[in-house]
Amino acid sequence: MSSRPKVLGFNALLVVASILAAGPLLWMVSASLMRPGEANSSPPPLLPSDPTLEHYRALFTSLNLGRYFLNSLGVAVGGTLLAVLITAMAGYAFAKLRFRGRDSVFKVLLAGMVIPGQVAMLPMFILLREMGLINTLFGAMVPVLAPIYGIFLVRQYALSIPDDLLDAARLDGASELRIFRSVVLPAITPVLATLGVFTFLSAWNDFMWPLIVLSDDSHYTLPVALANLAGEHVLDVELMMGGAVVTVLPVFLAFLFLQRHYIQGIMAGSVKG
Amino acid sequence: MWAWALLVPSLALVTALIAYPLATGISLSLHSVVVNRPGLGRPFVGLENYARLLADETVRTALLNTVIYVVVGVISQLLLGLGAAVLLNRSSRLAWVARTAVMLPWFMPPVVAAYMWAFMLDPRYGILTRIAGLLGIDTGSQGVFADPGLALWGVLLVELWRSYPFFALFFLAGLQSIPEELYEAAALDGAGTWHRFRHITLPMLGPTFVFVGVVTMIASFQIFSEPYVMTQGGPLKSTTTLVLLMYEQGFRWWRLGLSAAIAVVLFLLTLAGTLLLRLRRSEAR
Repeated sequence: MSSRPKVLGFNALLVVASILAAGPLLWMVSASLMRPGEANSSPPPLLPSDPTLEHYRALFTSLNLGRYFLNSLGVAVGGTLLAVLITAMAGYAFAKLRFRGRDSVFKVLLAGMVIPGQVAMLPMFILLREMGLINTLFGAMVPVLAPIYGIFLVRQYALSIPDDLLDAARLDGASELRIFRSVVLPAITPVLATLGVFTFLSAWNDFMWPLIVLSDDSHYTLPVALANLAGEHVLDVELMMGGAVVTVLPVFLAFLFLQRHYIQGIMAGSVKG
Repeated sequence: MWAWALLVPSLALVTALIAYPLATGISLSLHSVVVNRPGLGRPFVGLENYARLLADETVRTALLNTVIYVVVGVISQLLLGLGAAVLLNRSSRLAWVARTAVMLPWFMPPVVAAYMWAFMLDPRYGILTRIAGLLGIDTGSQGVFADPGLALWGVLLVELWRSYPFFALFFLAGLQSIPEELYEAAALDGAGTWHRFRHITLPMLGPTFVFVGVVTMIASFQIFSEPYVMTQGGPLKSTTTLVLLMYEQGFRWWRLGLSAAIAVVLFLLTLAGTLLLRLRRSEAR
């Protein structure tokens, strides 16, 4: 149907869009492999003349990046598991169980979606300090643990579970817990995968809250550690970009592995919204 | 009973992490609380914190900047996202590769994106400064982020680069859910490409617009990492935002009342923006 020049034009635009997106990332990797000072030479090179891993070695030995990596992983994985579990429970209850006050509770909950996280930060900080949770990985997880949007997403998805299926399981004498585990959870897995990716991402990438709540450097997550590293090493472009690559890698891997999943989840879950 | 058992964890967490802090925050904003001067106590001062905000020029600058971040940010991301979605919505192998590439920046931690762009735009050594120079574009000797007239737009550009894929992703999902028959029927009726886009694609994407618009708007109101990393709100406060001020007042100077007041202003702005978008949606129906 489309004429040939038109297809060529679209393809050219696709290439440009890809370069604009991926080019800076490739430069980041390339710079992290350069010798110290090389990225700052004039004219700045695109590729390392003599690739080296010395910055990664320094990052993981003297600069303790391994520790921050584990902190980030703990915060992101722990936060994601907790968030996905409580979201699955609540989303299913709102979609499929009949109880008094269901719709009004749900409405109130949705209204909370417009409250920006920052509004809660100061009081939350004071609260956590009173509970002794400042400077703990659990304290850093807190922002992903009130996932109103996630509950909404799971509810939308769970609405499509046929009531007959649940009733049949009840007639067979299955307990509610059993139904939740063996019927509901498998049915909503795609949306949970979507939610999991997004939650992991926001916990891993979060900067402001960990910056506030983690003051002791042994608890830093990667973004905070990177900003801290910049304090001393902001001129060491190659080293900084090495730290950046380490910080980015897990989210990119998560993205590539789950790409198919989360796109399905988005299509099924939210377009109806 | 079982239903409530399922709900208790999330309702308890939402109460503890959203409702309670919001209430305490509003109350804090009506008191004068300076942590490192406990001798002063925490007297109730009514709207005095808000009056101080209104009188402060930095706050007015931050307010204006925040509005620019939100309005320009959301509109530019929306347009670019829509364009990218239309472009990516084909089944060639190249489109598949491009789809993967285009989504990557959105997954990046904002802090990383900020450092990466700051280095690439460095006035002396930056690779992009160099490329811009070769193309005959002069970015000035002090660089984008040191120029009070340019810094804000630099931050917006980085934000656009990192965030428009979110729109693209959702628009793409929206496009793929539009039944092909609609287009075929319209084509039979003799509707051209633009006509089909205007009268089928755009209306079918309506709900996606509002949803992604609201999410992006809320996120834009909270923009923090990029200015914090790239400019610290400078030069001359030209890139500072309400959230940045809230952070400085609250967590650097421990003026809790004032910081809480900024947070409440931010909340009211977000609320107003959300209602506005929702209203427009119901009008459009």
